[in-house]
Amino acid sequence: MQKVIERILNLLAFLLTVGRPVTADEIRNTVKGYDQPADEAFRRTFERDKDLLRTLGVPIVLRHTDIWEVELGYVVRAEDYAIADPGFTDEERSALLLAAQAVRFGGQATEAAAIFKLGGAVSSSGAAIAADLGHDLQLLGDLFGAVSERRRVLFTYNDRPRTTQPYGLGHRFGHWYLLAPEAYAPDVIKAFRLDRMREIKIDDSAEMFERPAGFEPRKALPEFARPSEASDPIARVRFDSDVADIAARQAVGAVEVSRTSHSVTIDLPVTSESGFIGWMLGFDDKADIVSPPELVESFLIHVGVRT
Amino acid sequence: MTSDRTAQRLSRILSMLPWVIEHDGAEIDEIITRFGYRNKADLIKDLHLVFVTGLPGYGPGDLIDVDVFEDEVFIDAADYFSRPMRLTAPEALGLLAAGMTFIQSENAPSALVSAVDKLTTAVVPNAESFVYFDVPTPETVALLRGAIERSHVVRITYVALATNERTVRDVEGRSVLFNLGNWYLSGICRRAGAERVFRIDRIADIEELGETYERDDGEIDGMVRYRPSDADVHVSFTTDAASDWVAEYYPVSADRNDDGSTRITMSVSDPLVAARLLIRLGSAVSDIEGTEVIESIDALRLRIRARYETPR
Repeated sequence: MQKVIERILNLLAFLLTVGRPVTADEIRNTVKGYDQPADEAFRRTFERDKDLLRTLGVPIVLRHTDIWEVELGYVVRAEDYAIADPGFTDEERSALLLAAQAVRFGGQATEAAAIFKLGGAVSSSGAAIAADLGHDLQLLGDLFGAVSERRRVLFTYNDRPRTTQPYGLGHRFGHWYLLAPEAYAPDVIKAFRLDRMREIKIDDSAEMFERPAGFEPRKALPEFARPSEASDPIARVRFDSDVADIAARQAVGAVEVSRTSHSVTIDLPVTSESGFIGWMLGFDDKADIVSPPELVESFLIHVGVRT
Repeated sequence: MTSDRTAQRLSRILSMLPWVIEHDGAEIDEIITRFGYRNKADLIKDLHLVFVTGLPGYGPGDLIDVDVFEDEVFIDAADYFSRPMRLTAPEALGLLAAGMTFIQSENAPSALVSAVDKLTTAVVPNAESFVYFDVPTPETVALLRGAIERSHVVRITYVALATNERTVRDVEGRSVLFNLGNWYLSGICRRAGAERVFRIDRIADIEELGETYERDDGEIDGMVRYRPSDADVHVSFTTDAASDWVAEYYPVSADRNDDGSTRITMSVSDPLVAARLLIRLGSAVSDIEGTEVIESIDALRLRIRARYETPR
């Protein structure tokens, strides 16, 4: 391992300082550690080293070595390799570290390497809070990279191939969404659920799309339930006292109508009948719909106690 | 093959160098803590390694100059490694998501707010214009978190998800978790004498007691998992394509049939949970197999019928 790291540090130091694209041959002849006698052994070693640097975030790119565009060489632009010092205080780094340890993605935490890059931090004791935002961080990271670099993303959704311009990425109600218009209809921003996207490919050509000014990812995320409207039917539901407080808390737009020693009656707008029926079932026989009669009928037919 | 350990070690060296270069004479102990070294020997090994690298020529003037003097470290002739490396996309997203989630969950320290501010200025410029993490947080989360941080027992009135049974429980909280769109309280329930997880939107009432307990400060993984048990009951059924969401929301095994329908098999600790789901799916479900769940569906129908037939 020692020799590998030495060699890669030498390679990176060279690429960061040489100031021009350099061919693999020049690297082989110049950088210490690439003295493998066989061409194939050199090629394998060099490919592995480049891959490793790229996984760490080092932007090694291929460019023509001169204006004649005959040969290609490797370059790491210092301004792409490093970030301007964000000026974190130690307290800020520790706060970030604590958050990073507590927020997971499908069980996986952000690597400590991220904090090390920002100057390291002293870990404090665990927070009394934790979150799992689901999904695979590598895929999320790739899509995040595509969104921030404004690269097109291709995938299959509902069995149809899509070519999208991802304006944003967001998380709501336990799901991740790619917020993107399809290439043929740039004005309609759709929210594609990540767990339903298949065969995802990121277009790595140099072409970048424009993100419209004023795009707000929050507004492009789907609403849990559409906001209620004046025309929505109002259900009057009677809950047993022991579940009424939970029901009132969960129901958006609920208004208490009456209360007795053993029940509470509330009115609430029904924005989706099937959603409402599912929610009512959760209360088992501790709640009943009082009115309107057609909703009572609909519920009882759905449940299978009336035909 | 290059191992993950090589990658981690190289990444740490490339992260440590800019900081030590900036803090000339940094103390060994501080570098160890800050960059998560196991011990002094590991750090010294890395410093020795850096000492033999540098620029072509590889003579005394070309190699990186590393000096360790009375437990202080000095690094010279490595200007090209003096600025912090940029983050990879998963690293940047991970930090942003973590920071922003914490901030939304309230009571975030001001240091975190300013850290996220710096992240979206210098590290991922304008990130707030293209990423958003919606973690709606009820007031009770801050209340429970406060109680846990003070190691105070909480008395909760809990309405069970499956049975709607209302119980009062004293809980030694361990953490408040956000998972799959819901908030949970996890901790030792004294009534059950074991670790339990409670959905926060099913807690009807909370009282913070004065009594304290010894809090387990170990790692919290943030996952609320279904724990299979031998006592679980099983049910299989066929659903139409419009009910594909079932396979995404519940831990099930699903096989797609040629006609576009899906055969689903699920295990539940309480048959009533599956019964409610199946009644909810209504005519989208067919060919149910699983005696306990079928009995539970029938019993639930009878209870609902009785509720509507009883004059109130």
